[in-house]
Amino acid sequence: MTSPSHELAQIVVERLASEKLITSEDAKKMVGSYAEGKLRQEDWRLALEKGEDKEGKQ
Amino acid sequence: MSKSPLKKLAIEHLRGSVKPFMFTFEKGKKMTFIYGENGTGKSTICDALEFLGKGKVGSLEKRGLGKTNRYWQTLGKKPADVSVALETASGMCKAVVGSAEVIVTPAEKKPLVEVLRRNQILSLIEATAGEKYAAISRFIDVTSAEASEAALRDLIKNIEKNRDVATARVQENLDTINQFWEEGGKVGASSLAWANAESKRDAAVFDTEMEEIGKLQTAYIRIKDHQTRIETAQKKLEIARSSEKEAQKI
Repeated sequence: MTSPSHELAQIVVERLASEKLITSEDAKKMVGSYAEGKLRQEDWRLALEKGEDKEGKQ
Repeated sequence: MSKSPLKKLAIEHLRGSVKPFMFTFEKGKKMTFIYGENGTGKSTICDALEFLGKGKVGSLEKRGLGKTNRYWQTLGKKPADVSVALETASGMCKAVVGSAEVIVTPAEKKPLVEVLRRNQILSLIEATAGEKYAAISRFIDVTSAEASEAALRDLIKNIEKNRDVATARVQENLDTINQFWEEGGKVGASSLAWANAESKRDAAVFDTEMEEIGKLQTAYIRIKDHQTRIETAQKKLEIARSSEKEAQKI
């Protein structure tokens, strides 16, 4: 059974990916850390910059 | 409620608990349903848990009774007779009525309790999605996810702070360029157009110009020095001439 934190994290990363703020690959990778409260500033920054980079190339 | 499995709840003289009452939770179950006829004590159990965890008796609130402490104890009993004890897998804690508030001992064993009462549940039917979440959010533990979100908020704050610093630096540089442009005679349509054109010039040209300026400066210093020497020599010459004239008179 998933925890509320995990379900919330899943919803948020899916939304971020659908808005192309992060990549789908990163969305999948981030869910666990997000739910466990282990995402740090640099993790967010890297994911957002990768999302921006990918969006810029398309 | 506390994450530690519940074992027993003992209630003495709280609300409808006329006689000391012991409720035993079924072992190994994460959820307990309590049902029964009206007046059999379901609300008293709920009140007891709220008394222990939150230091209040919610079933008496919002009934126009004012301060409800005086109604906590069973009829004919004193506030000091009221006690609620909860035994969990991590130990026992007990709540009694103190002079000003409910006292729980040991304090560190005090359980986390949230109560959603019937009237609150009924109000959810017509509530908006936001209101529903506000009402039930205290039962949903998303503290871990919130910790990750706090890191994101901190990142946003830092980026905004860096952006403000960068904006200030850009303004400082624009002011400096403008100052150079004005000192240079306002060549070109604007200070930025001039700076843009200057930045495209070959750096070697700047070096040559600097070298020439250096030479010019050295030459100027020498000329300046020569001027002083000439002036000194002229003075000496004048002195010598006047001496000569004086000598000729003799």
